[in-house]
Amino acid sequence: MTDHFYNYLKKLFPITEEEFEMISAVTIQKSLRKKKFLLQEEDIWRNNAFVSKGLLRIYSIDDRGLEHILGLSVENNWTGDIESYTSGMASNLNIDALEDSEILLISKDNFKDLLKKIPGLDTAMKKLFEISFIESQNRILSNISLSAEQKYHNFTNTFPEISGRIPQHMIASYLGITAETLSRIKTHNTIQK
Amino acid sequence: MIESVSTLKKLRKHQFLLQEGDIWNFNAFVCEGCFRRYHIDENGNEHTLQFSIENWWTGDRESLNLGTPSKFNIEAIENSVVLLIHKDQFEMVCEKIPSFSNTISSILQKSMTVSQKRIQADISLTAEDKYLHFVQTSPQLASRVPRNMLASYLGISPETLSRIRKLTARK
Repeated sequence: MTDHFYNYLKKLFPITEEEFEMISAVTIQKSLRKKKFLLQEEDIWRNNAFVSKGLLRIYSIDDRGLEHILGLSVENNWTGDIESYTSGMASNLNIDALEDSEILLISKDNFKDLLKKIPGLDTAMKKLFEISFIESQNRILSNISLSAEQKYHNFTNTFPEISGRIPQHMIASYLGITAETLSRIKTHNTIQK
Repeated sequence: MIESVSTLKKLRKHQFLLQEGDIWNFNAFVCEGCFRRYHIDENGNEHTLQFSIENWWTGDRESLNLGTPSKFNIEAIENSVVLLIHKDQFEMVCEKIPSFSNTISSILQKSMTVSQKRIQADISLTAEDKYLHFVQTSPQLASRVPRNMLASYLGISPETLSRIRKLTARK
């Protein structure tokens, strides 16, 4: 597991062994079985969480009990609630495992400390943050500009590694369309082919 | 130090700060007025990503960070004044003034939170609730922005927006 994280970090920036030891010293490994929670709403999110294996989703539950998926994180991605993390307020989101997963956790304080001591990590994290910001802007563009069918194709093309791993109703909930609409789109596509 | 690398630019209503296909190299702080960042799709429809009024930033972080041609247009929708800092000089200022760099990071984190909340609203709310959510969270924009642009921001048709406004006005 730590080898996996080391290789990941090595790709991000030229990390020394001492630097990796500093990071490992404050990293906590957590195994999460399918359907178990990493964050439940009303709790405060205080960690940086790296997914080394498995698949996690972050979602909200509305007044009617419907789930809305804000994000999906597979291996080599990070997850968490940035609003709760930065504001220190209770989260209105949930994070659960859709597959048996392995997570590496670094607390907010320890992470801040690492960013100060390891400039390479700081630069790399800023870059990753910019990329997720760009991705969020592109998702907004897709949300407001595409038809349900285009949204679905956009999703399967952009995340082929995720779309085969989650149930259809979750894809619908990520796209903000009903499960019925998604099923109609898929039937329509099969007939066209 | 920040002043020495900043350029003031005045734009009249309808003038562009960025046009699609161009590369965006600046950090832009809005001193006065209002800007709209939008994308034009293959059918010629406009989709508004962002409105930026006084004390907000505008720009295209994708083009800025990746150096790729922008898919967005940034247009002044009022007579506006914007302060521009070129990305190389901006980096230099961030390196020399750590507190400036920290402030920028926390602004970026706030923008990320705003983006996440907007995604949440987009995927979970009805057209009516999207409109009410916008009016509640951005009252200063709701009264300033033309309705067709607001509809394109919410991802609904102008007709739907007009129907919703009549309905909510009656309530």
